[in-house]
Amino acid sequence: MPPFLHPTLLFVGLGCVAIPIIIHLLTRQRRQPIPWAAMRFIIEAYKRQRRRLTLEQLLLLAARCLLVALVAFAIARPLLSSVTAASRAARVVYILLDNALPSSLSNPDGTTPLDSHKQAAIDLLATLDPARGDRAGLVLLGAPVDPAVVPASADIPAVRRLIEQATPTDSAADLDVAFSRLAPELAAAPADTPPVTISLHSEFLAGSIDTQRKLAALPARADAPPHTILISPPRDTPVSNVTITGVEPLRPLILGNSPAGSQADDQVRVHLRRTGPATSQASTSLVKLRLSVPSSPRDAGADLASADAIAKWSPGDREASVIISIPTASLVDAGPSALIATIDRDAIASDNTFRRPVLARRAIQVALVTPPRLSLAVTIDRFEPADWLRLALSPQPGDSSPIRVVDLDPRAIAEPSALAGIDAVIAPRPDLLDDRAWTRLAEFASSTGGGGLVIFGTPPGARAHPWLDQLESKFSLRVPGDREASRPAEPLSLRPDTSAALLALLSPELAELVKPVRVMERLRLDAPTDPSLSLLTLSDNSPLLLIPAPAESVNAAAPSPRPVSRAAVLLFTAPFDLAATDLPARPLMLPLIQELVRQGVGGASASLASSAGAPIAAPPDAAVLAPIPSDAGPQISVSSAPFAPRRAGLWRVQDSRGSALSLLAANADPRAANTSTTTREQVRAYLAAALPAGTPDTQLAFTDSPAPSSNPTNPSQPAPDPRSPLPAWLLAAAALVGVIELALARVFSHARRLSPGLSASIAARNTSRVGARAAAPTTEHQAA
Amino acid sequence: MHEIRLQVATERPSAEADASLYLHPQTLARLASFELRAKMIVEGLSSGLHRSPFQGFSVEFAQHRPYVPGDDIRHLDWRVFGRTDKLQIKQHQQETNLDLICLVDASGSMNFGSRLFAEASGAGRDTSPDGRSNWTKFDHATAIAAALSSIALRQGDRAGLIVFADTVRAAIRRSSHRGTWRQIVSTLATHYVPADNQSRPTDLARAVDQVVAKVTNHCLIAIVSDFFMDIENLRDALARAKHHRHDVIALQVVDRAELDFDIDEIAPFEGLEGEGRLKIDPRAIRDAYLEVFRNHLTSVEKTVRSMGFDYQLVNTHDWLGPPIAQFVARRNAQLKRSKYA
Repeated sequence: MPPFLHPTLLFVGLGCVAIPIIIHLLTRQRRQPIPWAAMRFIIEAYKRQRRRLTLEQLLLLAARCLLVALVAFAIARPLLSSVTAASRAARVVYILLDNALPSSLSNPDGTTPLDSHKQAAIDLLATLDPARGDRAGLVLLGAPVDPAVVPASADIPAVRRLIEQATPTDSAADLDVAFSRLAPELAAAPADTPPVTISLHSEFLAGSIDTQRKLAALPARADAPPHTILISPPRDTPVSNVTITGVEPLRPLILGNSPAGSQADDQVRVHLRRTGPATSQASTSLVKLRLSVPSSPRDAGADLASADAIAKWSPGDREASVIISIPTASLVDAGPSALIATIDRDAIASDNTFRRPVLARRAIQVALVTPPRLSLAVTIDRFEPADWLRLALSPQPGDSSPIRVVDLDPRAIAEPSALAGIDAVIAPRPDLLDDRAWTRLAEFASSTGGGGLVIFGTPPGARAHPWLDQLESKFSLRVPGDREASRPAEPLSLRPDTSAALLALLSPELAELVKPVRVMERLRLDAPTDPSLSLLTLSDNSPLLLIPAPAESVNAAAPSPRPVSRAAVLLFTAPFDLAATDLPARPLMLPLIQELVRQGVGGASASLASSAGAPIAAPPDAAVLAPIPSDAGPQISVSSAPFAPRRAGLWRVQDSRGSALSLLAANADPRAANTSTTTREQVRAYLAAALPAGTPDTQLAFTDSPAPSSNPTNPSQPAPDPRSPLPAWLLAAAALVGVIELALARVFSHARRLSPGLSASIAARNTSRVGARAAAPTTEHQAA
Repeated sequence: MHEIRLQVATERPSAEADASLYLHPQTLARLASFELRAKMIVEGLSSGLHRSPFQGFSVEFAQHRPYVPGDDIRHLDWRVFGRTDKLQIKQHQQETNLDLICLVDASGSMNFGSRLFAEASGAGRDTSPDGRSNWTKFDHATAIAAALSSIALRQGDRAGLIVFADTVRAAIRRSSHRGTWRQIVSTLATHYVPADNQSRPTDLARAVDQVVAKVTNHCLIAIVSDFFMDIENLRDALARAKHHRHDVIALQVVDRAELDFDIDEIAPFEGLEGEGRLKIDPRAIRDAYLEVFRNHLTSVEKTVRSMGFDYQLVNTHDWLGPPIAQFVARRNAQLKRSKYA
C-alpha cells in the first residue's frame, strides 16, 4: 500500500464510502408501502426486469462508492511511489536543510521556517522508494556544516528521523562548505547512473546565506545528464529583528577596588544592529546588562552587578551602541565571570542575549621580583627599577588600591607556593633569575587560570643580556636582535602611534604622554613583523615595549613546548632607570603600567568569546568544557580540533583536575541575524554559480515552479508533488467517475419522458368512437 | 404527472346507503332513453321487449311454413296465396321479458382507487359513508350495476345481483319490482370488501357455476370486474355461461393509475390479494408493466369476444354515463343489424 500524507483523512474518507449505503438503508426503512391492486402485473414486470435492475443498482452503488473513495484518496494525497517507480530508475537525493539562525525565526502562527523545511524534506523523502534503489543524503547547513548522511543512504527512515531531530543553530548557513562536502560524492557518481538531485530547503534570508559570496562549482558530469538543484522559494515577507552584536568592556579585567577618589563604575559598550522593515522607523531598545558568576554547575549564575540602558534608534539607523555603567564597588573575588547583555524578545530569540567572559576581581596581586632591600628608607635618586614599578602600580598604598604589590625574592620563585594567588609577575631584573625560576615563570605564564601575566624589564647597567636566551628557551619566544645594550648618539623619543589592543584605552592621550619621554640606553631588538606586537616604538623603529613572538619549531619531530599566549609576556627593552630612560619619572609611567597589568591580566585569562559556528581554541590547560547550566548539553572533551559550537551558550573551561580555568562563550552569529529578504533572481544567480559550466538553467528550479522537464529522475516530476494541494490525476478520475455516475443515475432513474399510458390510448379510442361524447365532463357533478 | 391518491377501504357501513352517492339521477335520466336488449333469445315470464323461444302468432313475424290440415286458417297469408297460389301459414315469434343478473366483483383488487370520492361522487360529498376519501373500483362497479339495473327495471325486465369474490358473497333474487333497484344499490353500498390485503383472488368460474346452477332460464349476465384473474379462469366462466345459453356483458373496471402507472416514488408496493410486498422503482419497470397490463386487457377482450359476448373497458376516472350509453347503443345497433340481416 502506498504511503499517504494524511492517513487519518484516508480512513475517514474510506469510512464515508458507507454513506451511500447508509442513505440507501435509511430511505429503505422510512418508506410507507403503497397498496396496489394490479400487483400481479408489477410482479411479472419485475421478474422480467429483475436482472437488469439489479445490475443497474450495483453499477450505481459501485460508482458512488468509487467516487467517495477516490475523493478520500485524493484528500489523503497518496505518494504513489510504487506506482511511478516502475517507470523510472533509482534516485539519489541530497537534502540540504537550512537550520541556521534565521530558521528559528518565529512566524505569527508560532511555527518556524525550520518546521516547514523539515516538512518539505519529509514530503520529498516520502516520494523515494528504497526498494527501487532510491537513496537520500542529508546535510545540515548551520555552521559548522553537519554532513549528517553523506554519502546518500538507502535507509530513508533513518534520514527522516535525522530530519525530524534537526534543531536550529545560532550560526549562519555555510552552503559553500556543504557543496564542497557533496562535490566528491557527485564527482564519484558514474556517468551511467541517474543524476543527483540536490534539494535545498531555505528561506534565503540575508543572514542565513550570503548571496554575495561566490559558490564553488559542483563537478560536471561528462556525457551524462547534469545534476539538478531544487530550491525552496525565498521568503517574501521581511521581518524586523534587533541583534546584540557585541559587548565590550573597557578592559577584560573588572576590578572592584578603585583608587580613592575614582568612580567605582566600569563602563561597558553594547553594540546593537537591526534589520528588516523596522529600520525605517524610530524606536528604542531596552538593554539589560549584568555581571554574572556561574558559580555552581546547576546555577546559571549569580549576578554581581547589573544595570540597564535604552538604545534609541532614529529612522534609517541600522546600528546603535549604548554605554552602560556597571557598579563595581561591591565586587568580590568570585572567579570567572561573564557580562550578559539582553534585549527584549523579538523575531529571533537567540540573538537577544550576548555573553562576554570577563575577569571580575575585587583586587589583583602583582608580584614584583626584586631582591630584598636592606635599607628601609629610599630616596628617589636611589630608586631601583622595582621602586619605580611599585610606585606606578600602587601610587597610594593601602587596602583601597585594587592592585596589591607583593615583593618576591628571585630565589624564592621556584618554591611551589611562591606564585599562589599571584595574577601577574613583573621581573625588572631578569638577570637575577636562575634556571628554576625561569622554568617556574614559564609555567606560570602558560597557565591561564591564575592570570599568568609576566612583564620583563631590562637590567640596568648591564652591557650584555644573556637572559634573553632563557626567554627563548623557556618561553619558546623569539627575541631577535642585539644581546647587548647600546646608547644611541641622541636620546630616542617614542612614536606616538600604537596599534596594540593592550594600550587601546591610552591611545587617545598617548601622543601627549610620550612626548616628554626620552630613551638614552636600550636593547636594540628587531621590530616584530606584526605591528600589533610592538606596543611602544622608539624613534629608530626599535621596540621599547613588545610582545615577543612565539618561536617556530625548528625540529618538527621534537616535541615543542606548549604555546604561550602572546599577551602573557611583555618585554621592556629599556631598564626602569633614569640613567637609561626618563620614562619612570614621566606621566606615561603610571597609566602605562596600570593599563598593562589590568589589560594583561584580563587578556591573559583569555577572553574566550566567539560566534556560534566559528572555532574557538581552547586554553592549553583545558581538558573539559562544561556547559552552564550543566543540563544545557553534554560536557565536551577538549581535543586537538578547535571547538566550534553550533548553539550560543557558556561553558566552563576546566582542567584535568576539574578546576575552573575560565569561561568560554559563544554567541549567536550577528551576521546570521540579518532578516532582510532576498529575491529569486539573487538566489538563482547565487546558486547558478555552483552549476558546472555549460549546465542549462533549467537544472535550477524553484519547487513552486514547474520542475525541469529534461530530468526524468527529478523527484517532483514523476511523483505527485507533495506541495500540490491535491493529486490532479486522482481528482480527474474522481470527476470522471462523478460524470459517469450522473449519467448512470440519469439513465437508470428512468426519469426520461414517459411513454403514454393506457388511459390516454383508451381515451383516444373512445373519442374516435363516440365523438363529442368523449369530451363530456369526467365527474358526476359536472355532468349534473 | 397527475397526483395519485391510493387508498383502500377499511369498512363498509351497515346502514343503507343513498344511491345518489354512486349514481347521479341525471345520469340515470340520460340512460333512460336506452333499451337493454338481450343478444340471444331469452325465456321470460311475461310479454316484453325480448324475443321468446316460444314461437306463435304474437307480435313479431318469424317465418312461413306450408299449410297442413288442422292449421288455423286465420294464420294463412292470403297475399302469398294470391301471388303464388300456395297456402302458407305465417308464424310469429313471441316476445318476452329479460332477466338481468349483475355479477359484481368484490375481491380485494376492487378495493383500490386513485380518484377522489368528492370528484367522482354524484352527491357532492368528500368522503364515503365509511370515511374513505377515494373512489374505488368497487364504487365504480356499484354505479355500473345500479345503472344497468335501472335500465332493465325501467323497461319492465327483471334484475338481480350476485356479489362474488372467490365465491358468491351476496345475492339478490331477480325481480321486476320497483324496490329491487334500491335493494341492489343498498346491498352493494353496504357490502364488505376485505381490506386486509390478504383476501383470495377472484374465482369467476366458481361464481358463474353457482349462478347458472340456480338459474333455469336464459339470462343476460353483466359481469362487472377488473378481471385481475387468469385468462383460463375467465374462459371457463364464459364457456359455462355460453353453454347454458346465457348472454354475457363483460365490463372491465380499471383505475387510471393502473392504466398509466405514472408513479415516481420509490417505495414498496403491496398487493391487495396477498401478493406480498415488493420494493421497486416504478419508473424502472413502467414500460414492462404497461406491456404486461396491455396484454392482459387485450387477452380479456379477445376471450370475451371470442365467446360472442360484449366487452367494455371502464375507467374509474371517466364519467359513467358516456361509456355505458355508448356501450348500450352499440350493442343495440349490432342486435338490430343481426335481426334484420
